[in-house]
Amino acid sequence: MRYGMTRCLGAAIACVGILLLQAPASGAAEKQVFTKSADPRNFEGVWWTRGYDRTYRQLDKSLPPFNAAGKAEWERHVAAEKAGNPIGDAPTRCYPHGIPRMMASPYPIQIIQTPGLLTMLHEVGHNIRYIYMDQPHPKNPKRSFLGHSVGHWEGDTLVVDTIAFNDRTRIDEEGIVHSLKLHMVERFRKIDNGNAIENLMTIEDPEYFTQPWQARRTYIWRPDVRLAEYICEENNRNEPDAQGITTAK
Amino acid sequence: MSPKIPLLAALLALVSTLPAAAATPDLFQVWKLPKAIWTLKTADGKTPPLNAAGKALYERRLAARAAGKPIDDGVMSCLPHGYPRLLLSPYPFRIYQKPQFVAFVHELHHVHRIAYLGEKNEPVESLDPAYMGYPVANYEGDRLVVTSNGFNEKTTLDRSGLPHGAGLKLTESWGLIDGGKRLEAVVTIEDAQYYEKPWTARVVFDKGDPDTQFAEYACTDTNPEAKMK
Repeated sequence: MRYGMTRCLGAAIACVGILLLQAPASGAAEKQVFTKSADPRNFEGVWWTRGYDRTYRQLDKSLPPFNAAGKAEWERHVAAEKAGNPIGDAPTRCYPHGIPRMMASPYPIQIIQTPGLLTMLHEVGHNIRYIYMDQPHPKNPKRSFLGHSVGHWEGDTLVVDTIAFNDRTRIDEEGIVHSLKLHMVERFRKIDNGNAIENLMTIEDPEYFTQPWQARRTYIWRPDVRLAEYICEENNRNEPDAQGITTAK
Repeated sequence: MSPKIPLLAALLALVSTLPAAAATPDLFQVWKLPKAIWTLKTADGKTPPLNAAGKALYERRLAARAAGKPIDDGVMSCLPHGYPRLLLSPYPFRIYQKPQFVAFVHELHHVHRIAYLGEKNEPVESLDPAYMGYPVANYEGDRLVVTSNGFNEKTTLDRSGLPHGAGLKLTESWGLIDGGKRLEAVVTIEDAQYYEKPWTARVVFDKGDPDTQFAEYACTDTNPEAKMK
């Protein structure tokens, strides 16, 4: 309203605009309130992962460049699941899923941009990622499930650097694990005429991989979607036992 | 007489014919509760006006907690606090304001609550009961008003166990006080199942550092809140 008044004092014609008040919605279907922005650096709105792949693979669809330890861990996880006793991880216990695991999750994400901060509100487990813009990581960041993320723009690509993960998550649902040394770089940019965001990820962890490797996920612009309440802890049928073992039910 | 005065008079006349417009409150900020509120009182410091059913349930809960075995408290199992209880713990939160919505984003249990602007609450019968209900937001003068319904019955209004039912209608009126240094939430509880009449509580928050980096709160069975006195 205050903005409208400023326009009004400038030109009588502009006054007509502020008097045309939008009638509030009748309360039936949710109306769409986000419009696609032409600004390649405007990520605001709701985006939904395209498809659901519970595995991460390199861009050429091959397995990651495991070293012996990484390969052994992956095989152990795949075998456990095949035997009917999948090894649970952070999401099983309703902890934050970790990165990049959470970025493959098939639930919508609402992005909010404010000065110096990009916030991702995830529907899944009502998790939150904070990307602190144009600043370094703190000297000794506390380790966490989602790590500490800083971002900056390179042209129209948002580059997000994340460190300080704990070791209580894994890379994907199937069985790629990571260590405390995990370092993630994600390159987000709009594609498809602003109808999607591509996340090109570089995953680096010398504990389990012989070299950094890349994977990709895409998130579709969904102005028709509002985040739903997601309460992991309720009716959790896969709660691990005291030893952390999940039995698939 | 200076030629400016008639011009000034003309401008004042023009302004006075325009619709009065209060400034939208600027609430985008980090806010912190200075001290935990375990027991919510009315704005004038009294116990809320529970009816007979409300008193019976509340007293059962108080007795259980006094005996060291709290009942009906899902927060201890990492189930959601719901509102207004989520506001009553001393963890920071941010209010984001955008043209389409207002979002309350909390450090505590990494909860986000998005209230779209300019909408009306749906009838309760059409809503799938939720821990946080379904909030809608509107600006009224210099206040942000959030009204919510569609609650499930799995939360309590506060840590002491004040009850609410599925018919709860929660109204929060948020506004700056003390020259913008503090934020006040005037919370109205309407729930005829447990209260004789609607009642109001008042919660006041201090401004935090806007660059605060929230800690990750990973709720476990031994979550920090369980240890707080």
